[in-house]
Amino acid sequence: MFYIRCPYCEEHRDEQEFHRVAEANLVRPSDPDGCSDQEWGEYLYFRKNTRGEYNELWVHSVGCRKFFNIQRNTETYEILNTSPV
Amino acid sequence: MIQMVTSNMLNDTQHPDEKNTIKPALYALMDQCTSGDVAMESPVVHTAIANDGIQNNGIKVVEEAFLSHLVIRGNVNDQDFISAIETAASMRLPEKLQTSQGAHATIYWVSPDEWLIATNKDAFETEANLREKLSGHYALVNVSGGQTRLLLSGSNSHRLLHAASPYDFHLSNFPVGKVITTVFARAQALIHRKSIDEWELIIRRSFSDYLALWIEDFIISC
Repeated sequence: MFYIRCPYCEEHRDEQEFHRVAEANLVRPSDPDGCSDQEWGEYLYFRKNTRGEYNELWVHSVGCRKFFNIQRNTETYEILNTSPV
Repeated sequence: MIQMVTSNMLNDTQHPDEKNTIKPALYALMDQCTSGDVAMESPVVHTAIANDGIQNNGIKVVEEAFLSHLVIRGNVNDQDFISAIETAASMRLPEKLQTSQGAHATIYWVSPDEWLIATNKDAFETEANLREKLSGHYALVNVSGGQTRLLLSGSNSHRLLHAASPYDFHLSNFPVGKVITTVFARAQALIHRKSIDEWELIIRRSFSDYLALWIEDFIISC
């Protein structure tokens, strides 16, 4: 189990309080009508899913209910950093 | 009873353009309490926690029914917002993971932009009083019907919390006055340490049946 530091509550909490949402820092195309099917499809469905260091968006759903970024290693499960969105 | 209130009433003789520059704050104030012929019922009325509560082996849980619960949200950096609440409630807004205790109310920190006020005063009047003082960008919701408060006490009260939640409730990590929202018996509860052996649990109405029976089960078998 992860022991995650919420950057808003500023303390460590059990993983049960959190939910993983998605890959972090996804940028929505500024002109959805103008982009190709491939561009839109990649934004909507395709994720890096890196083995190693990865940035994820999590939410402190049973707690302060704020979204924040976690930088973690998907191979070793080490959490490198958590930061407010 | 529902009152539609416009905090910045416009004069009909004003030019439409002028009206657009002043944005009146329109909100509905609703008295959620039932009138005399319909009985109010606590969400745990069918369990032992209601009325006198349940007690065994140094753990006691009793419901503090029919309190007024108001959720207030706003920007902590907005001095007008902060001072309006502090004037209306005659209390300080608590710091992160803290509470403020007043004569009739407790304010709980929930999130960096959210607080919960629980008071034994009338919800309708408290809300009207707050709205009168507040202006600008804020949210105020009466959630009295959606949750209830339980008082957990006794020298073994920490044992119930340890069984229900993964959080560290030791005095060094959880001093008197601290408040957290966390997992409680797989559901959710706002937990406040009122004194060394007294804890307030604020639980959702939708989970109250399950949680009351879980607590009852634990206390009987402990």
